[in-house]
Amino acid sequence: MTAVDTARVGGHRSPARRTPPRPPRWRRIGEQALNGAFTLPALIIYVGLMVIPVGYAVYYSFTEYNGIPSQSPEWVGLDNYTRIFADPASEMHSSLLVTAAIAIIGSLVVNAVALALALLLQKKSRFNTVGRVVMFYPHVLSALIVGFLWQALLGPHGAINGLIEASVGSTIPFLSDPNVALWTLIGVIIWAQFGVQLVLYIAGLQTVSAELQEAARIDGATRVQVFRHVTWPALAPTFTIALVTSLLSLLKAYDVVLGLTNGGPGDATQTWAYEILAVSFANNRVGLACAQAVLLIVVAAILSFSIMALRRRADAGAEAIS
Amino acid sequence: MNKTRRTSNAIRVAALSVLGIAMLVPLYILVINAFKPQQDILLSPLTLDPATATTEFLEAAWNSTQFPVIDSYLFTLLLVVACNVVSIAVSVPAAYVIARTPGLVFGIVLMFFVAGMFIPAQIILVPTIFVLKAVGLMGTIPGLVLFMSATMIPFTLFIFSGYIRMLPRTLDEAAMIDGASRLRVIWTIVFPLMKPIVATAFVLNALSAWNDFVSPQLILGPGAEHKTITTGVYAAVSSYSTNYEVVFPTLLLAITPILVIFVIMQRFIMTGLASGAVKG
Amino acid sequence: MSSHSHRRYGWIALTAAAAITLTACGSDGGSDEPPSTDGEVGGEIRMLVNITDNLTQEKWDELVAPFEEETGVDVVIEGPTGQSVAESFPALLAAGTAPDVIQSIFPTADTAPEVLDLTDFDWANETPMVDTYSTDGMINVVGVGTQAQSVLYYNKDLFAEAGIDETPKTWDEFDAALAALADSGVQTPIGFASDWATGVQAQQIWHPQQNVTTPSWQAAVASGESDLGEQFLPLFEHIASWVDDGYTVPDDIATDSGTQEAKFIDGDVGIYPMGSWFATTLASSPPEFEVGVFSPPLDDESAYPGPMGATLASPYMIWNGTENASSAAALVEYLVSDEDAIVAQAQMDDFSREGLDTSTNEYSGLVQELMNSAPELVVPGNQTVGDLALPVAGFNPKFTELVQQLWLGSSADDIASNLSSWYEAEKSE
Repeated sequence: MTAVDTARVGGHRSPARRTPPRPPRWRRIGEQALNGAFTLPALIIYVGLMVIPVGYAVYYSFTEYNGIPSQSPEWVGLDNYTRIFADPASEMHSSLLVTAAIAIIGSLVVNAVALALALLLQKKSRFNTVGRVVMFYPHVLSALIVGFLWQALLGPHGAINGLIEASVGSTIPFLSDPNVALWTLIGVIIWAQFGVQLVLYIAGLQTVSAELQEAARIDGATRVQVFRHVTWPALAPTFTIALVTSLLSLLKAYDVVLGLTNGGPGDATQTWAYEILAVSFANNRVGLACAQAVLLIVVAAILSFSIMALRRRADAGAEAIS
Repeated sequence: MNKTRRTSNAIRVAALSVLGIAMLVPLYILVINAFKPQQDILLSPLTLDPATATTEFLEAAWNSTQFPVIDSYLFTLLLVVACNVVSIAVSVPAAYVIARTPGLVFGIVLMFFVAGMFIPAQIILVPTIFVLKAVGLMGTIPGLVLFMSATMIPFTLFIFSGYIRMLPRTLDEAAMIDGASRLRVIWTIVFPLMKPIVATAFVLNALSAWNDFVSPQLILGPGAEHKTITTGVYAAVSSYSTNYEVVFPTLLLAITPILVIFVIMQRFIMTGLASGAVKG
Repeated sequence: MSSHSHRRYGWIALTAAAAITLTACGSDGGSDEPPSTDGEVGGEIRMLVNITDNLTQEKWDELVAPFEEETGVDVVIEGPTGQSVAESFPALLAAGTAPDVIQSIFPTADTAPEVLDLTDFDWANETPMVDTYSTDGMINVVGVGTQAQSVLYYNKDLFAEAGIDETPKTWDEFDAALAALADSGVQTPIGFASDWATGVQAQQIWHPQQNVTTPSWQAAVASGESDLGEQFLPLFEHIASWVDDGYTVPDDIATDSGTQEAKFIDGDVGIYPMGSWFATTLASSPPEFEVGVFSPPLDDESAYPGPMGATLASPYMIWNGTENASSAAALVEYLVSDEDAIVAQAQMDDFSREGLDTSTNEYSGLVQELMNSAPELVVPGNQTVGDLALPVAGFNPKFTELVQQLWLGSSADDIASNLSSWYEAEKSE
């Protein structure tokens, strides 16, 4: 432990402490400005190429517009939003439910599976290397391909049903029954997604102090206890990040829907992103699409910020442990 | 003690192996179907019949894309590297400042960046073209790189700042006491410690760059000299034919390089200083 | 929509998805004058086409080669930037990189102002179905031929085994035929498929009866005299009864058309409703049994066969912002008027053209006969911008989504009323 740590733990200044004197106020403002400068390049790129375009999207959400440059948007105020909430053709609310199911069930399962596998695969070994590649590779395939492959596997005349029919005589309606199709979609999304969170947890496990874990085990703690009291708290920020990123990915689920079911059967697997991109945009209803997109962004923001706020104490605790 | 360790390890290996094999089934099917004629693909999905197996479809896919395949692989690789360099280079300093500076201001800045992750990139693609046009970067490779990096910055910054917060301040504080400038501290002390998370960011960003076939097409324009491999591949598949003899070899061509990149990079997530060195 | 965009119609281009476009202030202020078509023919033009199994890049290049040789124009063939031309065109417009010629889509209310008026060209006036597809007398799209839409392909061997002597002419006879096929053990008496196919096939079966009951039904709906629910309810009832009797099962609407077609060719499907382009597929992998075709049934036998659904084959439009209008017009003229070009296109994707024998195989010959015996040709739901247009976008996908509910247990009445409420909510004033 360094001199500074000793000072902190001791709770009193030791003569060995060597903190520099507090700089004058103008210097501190200068330092803040320098801090800001470090964020500038990222800010410029981000604001220019993401924030400003989003501003456009927000503007369009209050207009009726068909997206063709020579035909200008027509201001309609809250009409698009009203249509979303009233849903006169009863098409949008089901997409909300589908997306909610995917996001909630999906994030829970993804994180549980990813964490479990990260724990099993964290040590360095040839087997673990291969294992990690195998668990991650689904994410390497683009979501569209994933949907397509699983459709070939699970379709009524696909590979799996071919086997099942040969042995049992009937088939499982993975993609033809609306309820089963939704579960199939969730399963496929989880399959393709958890590799990301797995990688995040493995990286996070690297920073958990091995010495602390070893010390706890020597003191007689079981593996479960070590996990609960040493590993898990130290992993706190990683968990927050993993949870938020998985949630956001799942909220935007779209490509995989295209490949797997194209929203079918009927509208059983239409997600909110599908509604935006494959229905509203495809029909050149740009204003409506933007309104739907704005709602998606707002919901994502609320969920993420809530999660991060709730986790703040746990995250701060993690740094103290390391 | 040792015996239970070994049996529990054996169980671990066995369970993971079963899971691993199950995970590989779709890839297995993709690979073998690249070598089968249409009838075999439809009627005997899980087996490869040596009598009818052929590389002709794979060769056809390699040759039939109407642009030089090697050129596209290289161009896509260039994009992947360039976008990663840009997004990582700007994210590390920003994440450091956000993670280390207490107070509300930088907390808000972080939230501001994180909000970018809520935005589906497809939705902002066309207004972005407008911005690029305004600064004269529309239709250029730098413009494309900047846009793709912009979509990567929120996530990269988010995971970087979280990771840096897990690193103890002692090392950088010690260095600063010794008189190092902030910039030096960031790049010579903190960055080397970030190897696992940088590798993670590299891999994930590389994937989104590799699989993105929309932005290059729209920003570079249909008459562009260089095309990404995924663009070409999707052009072949975009008819969405049920001609699987074309689809599967094409898909195989598309995923192999990125799979290889991942296998190579994942080692770096493990190397990098183990926590022991960090605690010093 | 042409047959080509029917292929896996559901794929949406991410680019089109991002069709939040530049506002008017972003576009270059073009002049209001349409580009002149009197100029010299030369230079380079770009044509956006649909690339499919039948319409490969190589075949397109071969098609335009004679034109290139004769005029010296360099024709660049481009596939969609997204998944289909319909989604790519608005996106390319927004990005400022729109092509000169666009194939395979029809003008919609949104895109019609962006395409060139071809009315003054004589050759344009002589193209097939030109009246049906013009808007208030203005021609903005021309095609090469006519594609039949309401063809019921059937397996003659299975019919014989089931004891069906004559192809059915009325709905009752049709139901009886399906029952006979089911009794004789046919796996799939009538073969529907997934995605876009469900909606297209359902509409195809209905075209004759629908147009007998309500000629120019689209105009009736647009004017408010009728509504979509009323128009399609009898069809939904027919399909619902087939589902109840087990002649078609939910698995079918999750089976893609390619697989279903392979099963028809294998001999597992009794009746397969599809357009004339299926003849090309049949010709490339001919089944072992004899194939026949017949027209969908009607209520009243004396009116049989009813009007045949048909669409314009391989439509072409010219962007009115093109810088090389004369070459573009010359190319389109070549594609729709030159006999060799027409025959070449018919070999790629089957269609018929009056005055020319374009049938290249026995199957297209059968379809041709069927078309000849039809009293008139009628267009499907949402094809044109003219008088027979429905003032809504996205009719086909919505119809597909709703009609699939019939296999999932919804009642015909519910679906019909959903269709009507959707129309009310969607239609532009």
